[in-house]
Amino acid sequence: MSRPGSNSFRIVELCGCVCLALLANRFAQAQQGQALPVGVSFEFADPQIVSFFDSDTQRKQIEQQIGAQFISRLQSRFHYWTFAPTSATVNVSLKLGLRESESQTVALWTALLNGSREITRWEKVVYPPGELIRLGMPTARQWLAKLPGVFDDGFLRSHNQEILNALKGVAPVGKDIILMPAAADPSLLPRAVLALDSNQYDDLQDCEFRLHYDWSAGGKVTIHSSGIGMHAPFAPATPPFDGIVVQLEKWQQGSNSQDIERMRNHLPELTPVEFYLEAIKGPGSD
Amino acid sequence: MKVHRKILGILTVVVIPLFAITAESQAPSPAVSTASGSRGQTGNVPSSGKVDTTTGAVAGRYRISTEQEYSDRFEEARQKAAIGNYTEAITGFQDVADRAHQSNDSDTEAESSLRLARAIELSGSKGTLDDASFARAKLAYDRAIQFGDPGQQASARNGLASMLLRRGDPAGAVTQLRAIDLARVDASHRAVYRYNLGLANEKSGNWAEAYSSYLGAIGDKPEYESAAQATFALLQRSTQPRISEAVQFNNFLLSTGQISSAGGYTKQLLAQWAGKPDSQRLLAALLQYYSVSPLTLDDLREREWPYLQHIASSAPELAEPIRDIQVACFASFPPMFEHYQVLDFFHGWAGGDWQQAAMGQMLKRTGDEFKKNGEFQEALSRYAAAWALSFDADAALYAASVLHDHRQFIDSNERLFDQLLNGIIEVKGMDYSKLDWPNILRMHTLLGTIFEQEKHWGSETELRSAIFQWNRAIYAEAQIRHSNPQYPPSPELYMKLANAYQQTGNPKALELYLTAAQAFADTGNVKQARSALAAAGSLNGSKAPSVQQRVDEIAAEIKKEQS
Repeated sequence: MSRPGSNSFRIVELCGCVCLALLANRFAQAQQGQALPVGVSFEFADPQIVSFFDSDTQRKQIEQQIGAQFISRLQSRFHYWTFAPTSATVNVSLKLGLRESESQTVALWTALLNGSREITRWEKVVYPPGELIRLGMPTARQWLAKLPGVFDDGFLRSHNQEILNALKGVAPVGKDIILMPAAADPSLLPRAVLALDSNQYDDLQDCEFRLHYDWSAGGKVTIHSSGIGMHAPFAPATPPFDGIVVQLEKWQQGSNSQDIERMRNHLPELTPVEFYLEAIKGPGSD
Repeated sequence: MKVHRKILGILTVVVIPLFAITAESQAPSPAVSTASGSRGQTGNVPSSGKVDTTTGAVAGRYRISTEQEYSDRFEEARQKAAIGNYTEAITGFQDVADRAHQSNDSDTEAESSLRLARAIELSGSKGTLDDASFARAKLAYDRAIQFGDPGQQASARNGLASMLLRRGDPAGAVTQLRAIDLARVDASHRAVYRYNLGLANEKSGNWAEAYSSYLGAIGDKPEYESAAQATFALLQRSTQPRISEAVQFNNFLLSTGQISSAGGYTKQLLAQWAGKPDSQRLLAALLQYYSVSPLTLDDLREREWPYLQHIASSAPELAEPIRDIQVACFASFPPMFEHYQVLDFFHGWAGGDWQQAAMGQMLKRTGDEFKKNGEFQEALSRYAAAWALSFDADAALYAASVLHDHRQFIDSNERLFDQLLNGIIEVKGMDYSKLDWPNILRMHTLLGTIFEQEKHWGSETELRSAIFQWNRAIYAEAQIRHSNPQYPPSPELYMKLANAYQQTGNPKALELYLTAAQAFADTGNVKQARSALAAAGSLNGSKAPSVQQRVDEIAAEIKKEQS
């Protein structure tokens, strides 16, 4: 077991701290145009595994470093959200931990939480039966080397669709929406600009989004919209950026859904709450 | 592009230092994003290509002073297009393109030509263009291709191809899309171009090219749903059953993590082609989906079984294999450990290796579910059957783990336990190089632990003993290391065998303690390394100078690691 005093541990510790500092810095710089955060936290959790650490301080440091690696992998795979260490202000989060079961099988579990409610959970074997018996309990350095790869390959790649669909269901990608002026051609569907910086999210400009609003006439409204491969200034953002343009297609309240044309006059009565990614599309030719 | 370059010029000063700090972050970098933004939109695909940010910014500042007069015009046209006022946008982009041409500003000329072409296309009523508008849009795309950089050229060719497709000229679209240098395009854009190439090929009647283009698009961006939908539709519309392609499609989706799509599409294609020759291969593909999907036994019973019953009723030749699936999922059966026995029991899946492998995976998966539900006897039966049917060492390992954790099953499954002890996989005459040594290693480790707990140390020739099983485990490790020298060593295993030898007074214990100490020290596990070294030191008898030298070396290594 690598101990807090060892050189190797100090290097790992230092790298982790720098990594965390950069992450925190990046998150602190989050500004308009950046997708909303999804919290990420990791704890070894299993008492058997926890007991192998020399101290709580050492364990927590390693947990933070592993958490930072998870965030980095998540951001790389699903850049439609901003993954960040879990905090009180972040509602949707991924909580990860380890579980040791029979034959010293160790599994990494990931739970998607909306507030305190668990939405879904995945589990992936890290060490199959017999593996820890032959290896002995991994050192801090070995956990750090092992878990991010298992997370990336065992979850993010293998369960790509499940994770993406689960996130699409509960994690909004943005909040602010600006209705665009009506076009001269009345046959064109109304359009809006989403507060997603097109420089960063240009691959979302043909995707479908669910826009959630409060309606001054009462109740909540969901508008189904599609990107049209364009962006436009998101005014009055500071600093200025181009947001993604969507055309509004369906107006849904409860289970009632209707074409947007019929409700076009009511659009100014809506106050945006948040918007969600509905489907990832590229520009079709049909 | 002047307007974007103006922003770029400002941002570069601010962004580059920040980028330097956060360069290791996996998040899209501001610098790259800004460069991307400088290319603008095609309306068809996000722009692509790489720009030297610093160079671009310098060039942008230079252009700000020389091209000021049309930058505002461009921005105005861009906003008109975004709102949907295409007539004004067209006039604006045309104007900017012409002025850029006069200024020899090829970047701006290409960018505004791209936007001009797209605005013309969007201005057509319900997506149709009259001949004059088509000719004008095509001219604009051609201009972007002529003057643009590789990213702009690719966007323009893609836009032109899409327009040609809508115009009913798929061959022309194929020509344009094939001219794109895909190697110079990032995966996200490549997926779009390949998808469109698939469409163009499909409309040209090039089935095989369409199929491979769509699969390529899925590989480039698995979450891009249109490509998978198009592949499915292509298969579904095929005039003849395309079983092998459908199986490949299923496997490809599974390999890219699109598990739910794989299941959904495979079920529909199986319903369409059930009863056709080779349709059991699709059923086997469905088992592969079941094997990796998060379905529980209840899900299988409530959601999948009615579907499978429907398939069985429509295709009598699938009735037996489907009945076997029912047995694997829901029936109670005793553990079987002979290949011929399991072939007879799951006769519908006995025909070939691919059938045995598919049912083997399914049995392993249902074994996991039974184990999760605490039904260990049922789990053991399925692991054993999976092992005996397809020689799946992973299933054997889990069978061993059930026996390891639930010792009462050893007595009631004596023969199975004996088969495990005999290392059934090794004596079946299988190709030595294809053996799953990592799982064989783990299995012997588990079996050794069973005897260790009984304090049955035994010997190197006694099957039912800890020493035999751990020696076999170390042999398996040597086989792994032969092909993979980087394979992590097994310090705890050496330690356990050393303990067993020490219990029996075998002098080999010393060497093994030292090997364990060395392996622990190599992996930075100081505490365990010290413990192994202490165990070596506690052995009775004098130690040769070479042994003492080795002890000193390991101790020095531990000290170094600690400091």
